[in-house]
Amino acid sequence: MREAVLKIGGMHCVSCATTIKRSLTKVGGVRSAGVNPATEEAVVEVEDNVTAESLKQAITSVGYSVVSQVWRTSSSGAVQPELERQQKQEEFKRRELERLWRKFVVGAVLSVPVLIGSYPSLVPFLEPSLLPYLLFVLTVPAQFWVGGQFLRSAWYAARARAATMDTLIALGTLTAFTFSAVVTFAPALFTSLGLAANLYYDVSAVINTLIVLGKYLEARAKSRANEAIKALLKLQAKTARVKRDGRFVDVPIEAVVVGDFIQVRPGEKVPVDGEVVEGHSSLDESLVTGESIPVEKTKGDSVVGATINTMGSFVFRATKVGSDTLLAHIIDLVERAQATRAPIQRLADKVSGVFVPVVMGIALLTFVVWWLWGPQPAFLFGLVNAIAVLIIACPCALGLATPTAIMVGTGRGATMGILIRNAETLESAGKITTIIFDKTGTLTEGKPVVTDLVPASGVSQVELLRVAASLEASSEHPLAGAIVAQAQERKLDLESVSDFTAVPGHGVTAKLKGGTYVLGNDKLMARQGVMVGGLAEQANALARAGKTVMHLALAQSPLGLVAVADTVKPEARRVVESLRRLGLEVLMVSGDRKLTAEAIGRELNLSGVLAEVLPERKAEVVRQLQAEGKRVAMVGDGINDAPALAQADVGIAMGSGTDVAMETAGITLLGGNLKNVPNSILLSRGTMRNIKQNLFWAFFYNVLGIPVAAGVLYPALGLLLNPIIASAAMAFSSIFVVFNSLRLKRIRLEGGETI
Amino acid sequence: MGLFSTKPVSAVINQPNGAQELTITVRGGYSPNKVAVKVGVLVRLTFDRQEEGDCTEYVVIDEYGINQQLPPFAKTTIEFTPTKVGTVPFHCGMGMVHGKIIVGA
Repeated sequence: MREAVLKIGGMHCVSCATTIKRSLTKVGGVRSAGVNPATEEAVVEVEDNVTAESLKQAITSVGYSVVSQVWRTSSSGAVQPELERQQKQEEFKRRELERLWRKFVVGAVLSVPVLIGSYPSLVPFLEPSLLPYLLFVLTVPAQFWVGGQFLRSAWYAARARAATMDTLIALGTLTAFTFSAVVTFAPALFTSLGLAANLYYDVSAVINTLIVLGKYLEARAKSRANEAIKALLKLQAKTARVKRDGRFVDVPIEAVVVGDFIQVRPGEKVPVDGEVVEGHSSLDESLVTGESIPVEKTKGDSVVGATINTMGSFVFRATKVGSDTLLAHIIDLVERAQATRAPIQRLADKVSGVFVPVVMGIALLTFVVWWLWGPQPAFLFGLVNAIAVLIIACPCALGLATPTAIMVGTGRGATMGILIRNAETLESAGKITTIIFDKTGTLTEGKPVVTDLVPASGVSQVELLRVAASLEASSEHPLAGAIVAQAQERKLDLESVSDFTAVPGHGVTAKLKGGTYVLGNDKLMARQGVMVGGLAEQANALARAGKTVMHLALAQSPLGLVAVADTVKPEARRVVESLRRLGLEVLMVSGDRKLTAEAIGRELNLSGVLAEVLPERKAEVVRQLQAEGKRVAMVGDGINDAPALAQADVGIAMGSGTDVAMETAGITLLGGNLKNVPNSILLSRGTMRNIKQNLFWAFFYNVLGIPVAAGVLYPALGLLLNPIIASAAMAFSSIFVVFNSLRLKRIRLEGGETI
Repeated sequence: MGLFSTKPVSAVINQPNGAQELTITVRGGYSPNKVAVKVGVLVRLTFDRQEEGDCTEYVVIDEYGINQQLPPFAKTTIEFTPTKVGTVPFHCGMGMVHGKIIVGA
């Protein structure tokens, strides 16, 4: 199945859209067609065999033209069409904004004279008997054009036997307008009943205008709430320099396929994901790592689309294109997250679901009570107060409270490399009490390095390292790798050994220049009859510090000690400190020996360490903590510890930003930026606080506003709410909520923005 | 006020590919607003939104975690597979406009 988006020329009205739609659906193989009069485009879903020509003909046959077309298959959905779709939505929103602004200006121009004219003493030069007719003429466009959208929506809802927010606005303003019109054209209808006949054209004109202004401001603020996706989409390169027929040519990004060889020159963006095949350079990978320090790339290294080449030129082979790229996945994840609903919203839903009918009941009650028991003119008091109730009660703010905060919060996270899966995760992350780090690759670098070289007397450090590295050169053990790497770093020449034997779990033996050398733990030394003597105490001290100690001996005489340890990341200590300051219990789970794990625990000032935990038991550890009533977040690489991440209340995957991690984890931290762990918590708490503020404001406003509008304060204080003030308050409450959510963009987090 | 709704239950159209499909018009409400489907079979609902007011901008089916934005004057399709027999409500973003999916065996 494919989808075509056709830009249509010659459309000028809504009925054109209907005509085009009908014509398109008649084409064989068309599953569905939608025509948007605002963007002047048709989106057609078709079977694979339908040609562009047949669709074009269907459109030209009814008198329109096809300006441009974009095709997408349901399986691809490349980033580029997504960008276009976004741009079109932007365009629609922009026009909507223009339309609202135009309506507001016209409304204001009409409202000002209506407002002044409502006080005849202000316009003594006008003939009083003509004034009502003048006000009527000015108010008609304000009520039916400026406020037309509310009337239309309310009408549709009424026909569907529903009542919405628009119902309240329409009912309130129409009541004021209709009453005034009857007073204008048939005043006797009221006076004969002994009822006062006043005009309320100002209520109709001003309320419609103010609410349109509110919608305008709200729409503007809302578009700012969703800038994160736009920022991400802009990262995508538009063209790629692809090898075609032996030459590199610039092609649009959509034309790149897997296996293409692509050249990237200094300063250019990497267009898609792939693997370097030629040349070398350093890349700014802040998109995936959160660190702006460029990373060296050479043959065989993988590169990620949308990262920036700083200097040097290279060629890479495309491995992932279109919707398979990391950037596309990130955008998709953020977009889906922004559309999810937080559990906290169910409360708001329950209220707003019954809200409109209840408010209509209160308005009716207000009217009846005032009319029957109110002071004179009772009928008018009842009418105006009922209108004020209808207008102030609009629950727009309630509807905006949660989604705007979620949108801004998740968007802010995305710009920092924190990808939050959904609103529910955001809510749970704000409530966690305990955070567990899976040691390897999170708190520590994940690869051991040589930390100490202790030569026996008469041996130099260099000699010790050279021999140890020569022995280990052909070993595949990670500890061996650390020793060899250290020797290479010091540019030592290694010597070749013979009769190499690995003793599993103990060490190695080999011959070098005729002598038999032994490198390994104390058990191996005992087995070989080596008398470690004075080095034993130093060996014990190093082991207590959590290091792995290896002895080197020539035959039976010791040459020295080599200590190896997995080092903690430089920022780990500060991150743990931040988390503890946030009131969290910070634990580490590790497969290491107790001694090693505890040494790291002390170094980092952790709340506790769970050592000698086999990988498959990590989920069990999480479950136990949960059974103690703790809300647990688990931080890991998302691959080896997926079950533990899934078991935790919030799984935080950090590292590669691989698909596996993004699928299982609630929160994915792109790259290895450890600072984003406390940042995720800060952001979640901030967002939840923001939602609560919004909900409180929205409820509080209605709880307070409705009784005041109904006039409960009148008997005691003589206080009534003019419907015009009510409409201003209503518009303000929605705008307040949106602006409050926008504050999340500036929430204080550690480390800078990456986008 | 969907309480007074008198519209009958609409059946889905069973496609040869096995999916249960139906188009629901969104204009002030959902038409039809009661849909009968079979449990365990993919349901593909297309929402044809013919208005621009804020209220119906999202359609929510809590039970299946769906919260889909419906652009004005366009069709948007959602998919889910009902997992158990019963009535699944769906509603607009603020719970004012309602519909029901009746899942039968």
